[in-house]
Amino acid sequence: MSSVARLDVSELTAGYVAGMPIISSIDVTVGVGEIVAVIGPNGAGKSTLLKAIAGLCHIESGAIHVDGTEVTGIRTDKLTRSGIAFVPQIENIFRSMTVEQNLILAGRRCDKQASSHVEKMLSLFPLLKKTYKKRAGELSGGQRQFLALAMALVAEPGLLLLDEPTAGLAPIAGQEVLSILREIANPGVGILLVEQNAKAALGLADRAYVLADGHNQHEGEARAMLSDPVLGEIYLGGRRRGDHAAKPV
Amino acid sequence: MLQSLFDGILVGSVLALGAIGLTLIMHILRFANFSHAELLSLGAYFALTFDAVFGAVSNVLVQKLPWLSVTWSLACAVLIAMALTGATAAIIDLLVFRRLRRLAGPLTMVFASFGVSLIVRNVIGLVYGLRSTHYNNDIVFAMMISADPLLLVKADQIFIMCLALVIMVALHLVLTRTSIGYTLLAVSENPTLAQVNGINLGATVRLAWMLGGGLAAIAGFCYALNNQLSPVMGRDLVLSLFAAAIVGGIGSIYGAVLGGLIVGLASSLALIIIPAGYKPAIPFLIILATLYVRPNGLFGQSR
Ligand SMILES: Nc1ncnc2c1ncn2[C@@H]1O[C@H](COP(=O)(O)OP(=O)(O)OP(=O)(O)O)[C@@H](O)[C@H]1O
Ligand SMILES: [Mg+2]
Repeated sequence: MSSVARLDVSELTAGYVAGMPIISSIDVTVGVGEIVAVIGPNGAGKSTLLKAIAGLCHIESGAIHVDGTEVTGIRTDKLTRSGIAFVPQIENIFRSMTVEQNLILAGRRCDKQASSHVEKMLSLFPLLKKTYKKRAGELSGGQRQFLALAMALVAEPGLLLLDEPTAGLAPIAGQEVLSILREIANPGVGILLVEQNAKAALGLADRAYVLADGHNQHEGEARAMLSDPVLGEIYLGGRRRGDHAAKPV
Repeated sequence: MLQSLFDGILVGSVLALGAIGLTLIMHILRFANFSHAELLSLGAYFALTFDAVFGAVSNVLVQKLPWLSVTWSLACAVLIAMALTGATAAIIDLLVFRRLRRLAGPLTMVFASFGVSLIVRNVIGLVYGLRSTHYNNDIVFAMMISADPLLLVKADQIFIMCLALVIMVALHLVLTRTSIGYTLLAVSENPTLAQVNGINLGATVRLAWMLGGGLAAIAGFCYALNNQLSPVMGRDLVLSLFAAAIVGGIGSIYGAVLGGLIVGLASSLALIIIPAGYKPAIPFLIILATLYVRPNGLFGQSR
């Protein structure tokens, strides 16, 4: 059973230091069961957007609503426990803890019987079964991403915020992750997906936003954007500005 | 040699208890808390006070535990001292450090911790006087376990080692088996990710202070039992505690235990070679050597 949730971000301006916003006046919505992709060049503010929604940034103005309830600037752990799962781009697992401990910890956010959920994750990600007792720091890049995803899903969230879940994965593993996302969304879980691989993201998503320099540049149906020639330039990094270029954060 | 080994392990296990709290707080809150050692003094003196209180309340409690110089009232007093020291640590955080975390940088926190340690030390001196004292004025004789090599051991010392061992095993079980333990491990590795996983950071920080304070109280009690109570015992211990935490790697609880043993053993074994007057320099040397060879300590992660 998943509770489902709808996300509305309106006119959001946020950053890391007061008075120095990284993203400005961003509007994003994710409907029930919808997969929405956010694409854009390096340093565009995609991760910042997700972190702002998750309560990890300084919000200057704007509002975030989940199912009509305002959650702007809410404490991160409260947001998580209300059923919104965020998978950060980097450092998204506890390296010093075992795979098992990571999953149990992540599952504890729902008060339901966590162990049965952990079982479910292991059947969804059979890879994790083999490494169950290993320390997460010893996993390969791909295994870590699977674990991070499993940690987000173990509490059966109503809304998923994913920051580049296929980064560092082999192409086949990346495809596998994306196809799992479709399965997750089917019962009504909304997914806001930041992806480096714009083609794959647009192929999967229902709608998409293009972010550049912290602004909404474009939004629309994902399929339509795939075949839009002007946008091609942006996916390939045409709008990248010198000092932001290629700086993975 | 054998005697030095024994003394080293004894001092090391006490240091380990104190260093666990220090390393937890340093890692979670990202600042070097120089006032942590004062929590050891505070715990030791709380135990002294409640020992007197319990002793006055009941005659049964003034009897000694078998073999030991510790009375039942002192044993009960240590439990109270743990709770009170833990609470004091959390209150100090609430009054001083939490505000500074929001408004100021890590360096300010370090200076504030110096201030707090001076305040605590002098309040202890004011209340209890500057003279050193003992829990028990009876003279405790050591047993000679072996004559050559010489090994003199007091029952209290065995008790201290066993107590430290029991506490460390208990802590290990809590950390690896319980959800409170997972929460502490998670927050000490990555506070932001912990929040993302639904952990209440503020509550966990309070818990860490209480745990650190409680362990400090036991460490202070053990130290005072083996040596003496004195308002400056925190000052005498602070460097060794830091050395233990740094050797083990900031943030690693198991590192702190190992670091404590290493510092204890090194200080004690070094006395075979160098004059006793140089003893206080040993933790310094250990800190320097560790930072030079392994800047993140034995178990620490770079960040
Ligand atoms: N913790 C931080 N503190 C200050 N500035 C930051 C921080 N993290 C990111 N930034 C800055 O914010 C801007 C946007 O970064 P962000 O990580 O949101 O981009 P992104 O679109 O996710 O890029 P990428 O594709 O590389 O992940 C960059 O200029 C970056 O330097
Ligand atoms: Mg990013």
